[in-house]
Amino acid sequence: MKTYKLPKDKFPNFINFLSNKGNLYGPVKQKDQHSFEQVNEYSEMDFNYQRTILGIKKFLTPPRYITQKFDSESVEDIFPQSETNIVLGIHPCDIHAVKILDKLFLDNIKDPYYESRRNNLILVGHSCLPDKNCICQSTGTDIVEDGFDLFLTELENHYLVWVGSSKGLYLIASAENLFSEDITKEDIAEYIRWQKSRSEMFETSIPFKYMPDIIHLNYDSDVWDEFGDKCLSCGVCSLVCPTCNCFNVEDKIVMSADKGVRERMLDSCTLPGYSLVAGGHDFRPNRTQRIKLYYTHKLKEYIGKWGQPACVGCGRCVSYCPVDINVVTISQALFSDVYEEMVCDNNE
Amino acid sequence: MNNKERKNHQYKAHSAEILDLKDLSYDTRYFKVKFVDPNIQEKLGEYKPGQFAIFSIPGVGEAPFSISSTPTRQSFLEFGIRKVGSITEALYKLKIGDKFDIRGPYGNGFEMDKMKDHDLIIVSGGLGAVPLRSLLLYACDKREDFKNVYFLNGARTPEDMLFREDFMAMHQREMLETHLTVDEDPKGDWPYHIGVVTKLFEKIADRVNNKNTYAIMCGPPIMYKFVIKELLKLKIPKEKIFMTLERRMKCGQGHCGHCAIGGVYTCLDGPVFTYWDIERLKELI
Amino acid sequence: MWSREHKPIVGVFGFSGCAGDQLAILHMEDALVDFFTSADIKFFHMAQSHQEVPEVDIALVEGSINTSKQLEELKEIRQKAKIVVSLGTCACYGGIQYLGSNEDVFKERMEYVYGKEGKNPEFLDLIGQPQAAEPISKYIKVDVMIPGCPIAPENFIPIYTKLISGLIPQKYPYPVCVECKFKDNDCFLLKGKYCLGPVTAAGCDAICPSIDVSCVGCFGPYEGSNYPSMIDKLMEIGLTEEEAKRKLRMFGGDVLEKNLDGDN
Repeated sequence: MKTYKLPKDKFPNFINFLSNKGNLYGPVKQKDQHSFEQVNEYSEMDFNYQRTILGIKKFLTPPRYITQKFDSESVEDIFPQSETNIVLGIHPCDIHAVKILDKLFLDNIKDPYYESRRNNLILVGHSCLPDKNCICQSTGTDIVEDGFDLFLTELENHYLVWVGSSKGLYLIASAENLFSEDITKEDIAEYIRWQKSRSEMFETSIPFKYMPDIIHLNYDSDVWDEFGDKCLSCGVCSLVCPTCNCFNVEDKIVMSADKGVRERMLDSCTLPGYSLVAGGHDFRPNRTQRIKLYYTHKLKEYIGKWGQPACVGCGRCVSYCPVDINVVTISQALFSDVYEEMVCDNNE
Repeated sequence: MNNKERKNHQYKAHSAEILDLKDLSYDTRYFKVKFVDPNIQEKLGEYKPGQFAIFSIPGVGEAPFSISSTPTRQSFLEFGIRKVGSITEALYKLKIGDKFDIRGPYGNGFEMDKMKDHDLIIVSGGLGAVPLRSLLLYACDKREDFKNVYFLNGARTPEDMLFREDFMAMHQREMLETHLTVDEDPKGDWPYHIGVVTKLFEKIADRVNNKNTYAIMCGPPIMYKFVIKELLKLKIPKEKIFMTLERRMKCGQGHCGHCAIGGVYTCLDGPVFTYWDIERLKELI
Repeated sequence: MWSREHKPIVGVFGFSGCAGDQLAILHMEDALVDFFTSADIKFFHMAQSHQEVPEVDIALVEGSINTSKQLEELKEIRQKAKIVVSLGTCACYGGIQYLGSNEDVFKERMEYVYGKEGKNPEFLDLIGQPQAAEPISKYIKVDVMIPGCPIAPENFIPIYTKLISGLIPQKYPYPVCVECKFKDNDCFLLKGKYCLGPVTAAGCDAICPSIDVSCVGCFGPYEGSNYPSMIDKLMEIGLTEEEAKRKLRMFGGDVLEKNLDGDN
């Protein structure tokens, strides 16, 4: 991987330059919260943020989007305009989440609507420091080696810029004078010191590699019912989860004529109608069953299938579930249900 | 994705014309259809029994339906559709010669090659006869590939029994051994068995060769547990017990998530599962 | 592709309430012309003067039922309509006036206003005998519910369009939280402020939380609501149990009455 150095004071210049290459999006502070919003320049963004509510899936599988429009004669696919969207300031967990979405939407049967959005997206990562809700170290997603176009690690006076794709290299090559390839031993030492101190900052650790077995063996545990009693079925956990990709499909027609659109809408397996089939049979009529599906899918089956959890440790469910049901509380409860000595450290 | 690929992607449904319609029961209708484009008909005619297709009626929506015809007769597709929701309601308004859109086929289907040279026990409940008819017709068309074929078919009442004539015709031609049962016989003129479908096992139990038998079932969710119990009693090996399942689906290709059971998708990894899958995926039945 | 078979006959009827849902229809500026041209609007309580109930394909019924005369008219509408839609939270669940529907409370209030003798003023001949507010579903079969206080055009139009097209609108229940998260909004409950998003049916596009106002539940109950947990959560952020239940009851009507099992 090619690596460059970008002096910190040149970062705004680089962003100015990027603004000519596509629509820019970055972390913007709105009240107490950050979200990825369209921006024009560096000053609108705040790179010192913990997490946004919606991750990069906002760009790839937006909350609502039209896939087809139709009239009485024909059906036509709707793809987004082929403009380049450059998203800045993406943390490693969110890049890992995009890698998981890529697997789901592109590895097997390609989803053309996802692919058209993905092809237009340039991911520019940014290093971060964990807070108490971050568990990416446990999920092995605290460091990212691919899946981005550029990744910037913020050190004292400069960024180390990792190039992850030819698109990324092209962006650098055409702003060449801002970057240098002169990475010194001190730079490397600083980077290692930074990584080391960052990895020591994590407060919560969950042994995810045991989760498939723990969930399997605890399948009938009362723990699930306790969470089921508490769950509000509000769907927030899935909506904020950067790897949750479920969608519902609805046809909408217009009042004045025989025409309309087919629309996808982000969905959640915690909602009551999620497993309802025509004819009225509901395969998961209660909250406990739906929570079990959510966590079995994320922490057990996905590991079995792909060798890693479908959780990237971003801490969004930890931060945004109103009733404290999340990967940490679920894992801790399942462990402590069978194993008195807490396996999970939480120095909170 | 280049433009050509984008034009022919997997969400693209193809126009199909209705060749024939008839009522199979008071709430289930037979649809015989053919793709308007002969190239599509040729391409999509190569499906496996147990696979399904997704119907699209723009403005109303999409829904999955089991294919009820056999790939051994490639010039058309057949379906048996119960009127239960908005899409089926719209389908029921269509007449012979009308067109609607179909995409697919989807799902793993039955592994017919594996079943070669075996006895087959096929157990159906209610609407389960629709996908299993595909398998039965296939087995009849390639009769020499299979040994004994037993078909145990249950329905709520005689009026609910689908494709009865088809199955009895196969039975009379000694293509398969058919046993029919109904839970209730309100009119009192049912000539066959009355009782739950598991009762029919008595009629074949002493002839089942468990070393050389595949069992396949489809029916309402409640049926599976009881049928599996009977099959295990007969010592049919667990990897030779197949079942086809229904789940909510919005895409048919592993994207929308609704049909997930643990880590498998009913649309990609199913709808045909074995007994071992059930041991592993507790939610399956 | 489906196509519309005929132009349906539609009636818009109003009972007890603020008439805000009828007003909301008349205020759908972009869609108003379509509304009056895509169907034959035979009756519109608020927008016309003659008031005889016609035979209709679709009856949009607003408001709760509060008098015996209204009840008679409601039954007539049901007889003359193929599809009955309850329009707005009053018609769907009883509305805010349902808070006074407890039999004893209602009797007490009637006595307070009209005296123990129950002497009814003369105008009651016109409007009928008062009775406790109830949603229309208490008395007749309702085919489709479109809640809201008032209804939101973005929710009403897709459902209504399916109905006038001879299609069955598909209901997929989800709460306000879903629409709120679609908008990248922060959560009130997590900041220790009350919000009824998790127990309120979506359809409003999270209009209040998006302008930093807590959801008060005006779209009525969400089918997947977990009331005990919601009450716990509201108590955790400082409400008393009574306050929490009062908030839930505000727009919860008959559904909350059943769910909170009659306690206060």
